Amino acid sequence: MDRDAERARDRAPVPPPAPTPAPKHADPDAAAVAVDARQAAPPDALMALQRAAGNAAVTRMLRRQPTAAPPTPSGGVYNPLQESYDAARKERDEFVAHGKKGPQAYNPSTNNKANYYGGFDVEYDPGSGALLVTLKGAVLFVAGMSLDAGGRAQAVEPSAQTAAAAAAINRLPKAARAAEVAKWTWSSAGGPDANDEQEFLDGFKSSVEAAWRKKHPFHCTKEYWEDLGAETEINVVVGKVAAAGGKAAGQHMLVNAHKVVKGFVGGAADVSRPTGAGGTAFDNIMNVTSEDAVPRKDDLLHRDLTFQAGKGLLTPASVGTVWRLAKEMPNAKPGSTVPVAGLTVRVQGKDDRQRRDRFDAVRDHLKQAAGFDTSRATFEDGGEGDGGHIAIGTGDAQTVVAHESGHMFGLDDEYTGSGAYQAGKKTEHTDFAAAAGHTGAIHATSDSIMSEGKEVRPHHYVTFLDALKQVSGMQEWGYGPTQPVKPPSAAGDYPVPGTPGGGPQTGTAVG
Amino acid sequence: MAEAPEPLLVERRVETGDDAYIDRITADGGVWTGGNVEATLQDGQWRFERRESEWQRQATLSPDALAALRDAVARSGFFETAREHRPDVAVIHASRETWTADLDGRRHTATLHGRGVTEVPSLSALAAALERALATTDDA
Repeated sequence: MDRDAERARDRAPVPPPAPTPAPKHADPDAAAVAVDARQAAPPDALMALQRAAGNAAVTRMLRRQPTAAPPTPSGGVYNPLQESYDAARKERDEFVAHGKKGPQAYNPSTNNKANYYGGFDVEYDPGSGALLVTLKGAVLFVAGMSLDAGGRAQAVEPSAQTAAAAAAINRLPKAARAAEVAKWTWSSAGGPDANDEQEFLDGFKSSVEAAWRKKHPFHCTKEYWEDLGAETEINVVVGKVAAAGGKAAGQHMLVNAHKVVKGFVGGAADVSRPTGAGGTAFDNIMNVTSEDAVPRKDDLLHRDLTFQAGKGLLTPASVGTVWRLAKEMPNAKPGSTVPVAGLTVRVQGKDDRQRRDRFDAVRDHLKQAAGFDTSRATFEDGGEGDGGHIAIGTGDAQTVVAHESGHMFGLDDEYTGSGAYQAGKKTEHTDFAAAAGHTGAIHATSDSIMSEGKEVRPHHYVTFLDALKQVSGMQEWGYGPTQPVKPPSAAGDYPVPGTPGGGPQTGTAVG
Repeated sequence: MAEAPEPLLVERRVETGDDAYIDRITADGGVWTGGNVEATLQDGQWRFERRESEWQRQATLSPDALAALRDAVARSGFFETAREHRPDVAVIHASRETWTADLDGRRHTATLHGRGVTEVPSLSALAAALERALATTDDA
């Protein structure tokens, strides 16, 4: 959908309400006068107004408690909704005319009591509809490996992969080690990869902005303000500092960027806020590697399968693969609105029948392992052979700094692990998202950006929505594009007596 | 995971998510590496892969190096340290380091969560002792 065009259309001036033709069988003016003298309002007068203008209008009118009957426009009949429409539009236009709101800092811990990390600046321009989220970071470039006085490589980057690499270097003759350790050093400190620091800064900015911008529009839910929208723009501002102390007070995070060799797979990446939930939006630390600003190379969303030659059965190793996957991908809980990922199962076989049999075998194992809803699995013909492949969701590779920036935006991990990360357990943003209408976020292997993929789902925008409410000073915001505002009409929506359930029915004034 | 070589003297297991790299010294001075991550260097090019967990004997400590390591383990305070060490703050997705030592019939395990963020003196002492021992096996 072209949201820019849609928003431009929706932002077109809303015409004032046309004079309302007089109802043939009701006199709302007379009813209004009667209602204004509330203590003496006879039931017949209220009924007449309900028929003419609808229940909602009567309720609003009673709340306003006007002291005198509103004037009847010359050449037309008084429209009881006109006043609230005009007031709302005037208020809305003044809100827009006052210009940008913010920027100001947003702390995800303020309204989500389960949160203890993250922070960003937020600014809203009602004229353009831009909700600008700015993430500022001071980047400290750190060697991922060092050489100690004894000539041994020491892993600085704390992952298992770098520990293994240090051991591999230390198996080399001493004279050969320095050259290998240098590959784990940024170019400014003598490393061989020219321009690597600028490439990292550029990659950080572009990958985070591309991953998170303009995914889910918001609109104002205040009556007659629904054509006011907010589209999220992301601005990442990262710059080098020479030491951790060089981080400015207005920067949200210190980024420790560990240099690793080109092609490195794995690594530790984390976000923390030493001051915890009581801290500010500016107290965060992010640890990443130099390869985290480009898409991951470890195929987290892909699994290879092998079938027994000439049979419809998976090999024992592949059975294990399927069972593990099923357990990491629980079905959505009843009533959940946050989707779970599906699987695309590409199957090889000697003919179509065998391929279908093998697909059924995969589905059977998915179901047996964890009650996996097999409608989540889609068959794909892989041609002849005994292999197979499972792609989780889109299968698209994640860029780690985009995931870690999700923590800066106030979101928890969604992938699976032990303890609180067990598949099916709720995350630290589950309840907060549910309060905004997106229920059932869980830890699960999926293509979600907070799991192992790159999909930014609506519930991932919950902190942006909260930030919009904060910076705009209004709570009346919701998901979805702007909506055209229609001028009020004397014809209203009101319950038609005697209809089944007594629910509201669309009707016109009747006498 | 293949069965770990025994009898154990000291082991350091570094884990990032499901990935693990392990240094293990057995009581006879055997120097072993294990885990499911593999970092290989061939013709100047690095390759990083996951593999089936396995153990490889890399070297053997000299009697002097083995005795020094045993002494360092005994003096490190490791057997009195807590089983869990967490950073002062919650860290999203940090690596962890698990140490196990077995000396004179006592076996103890301690896990450091938030590797690179958390410092525990007794574990740092153990790490230094392990590095000194491994350094004695270096090729010239």
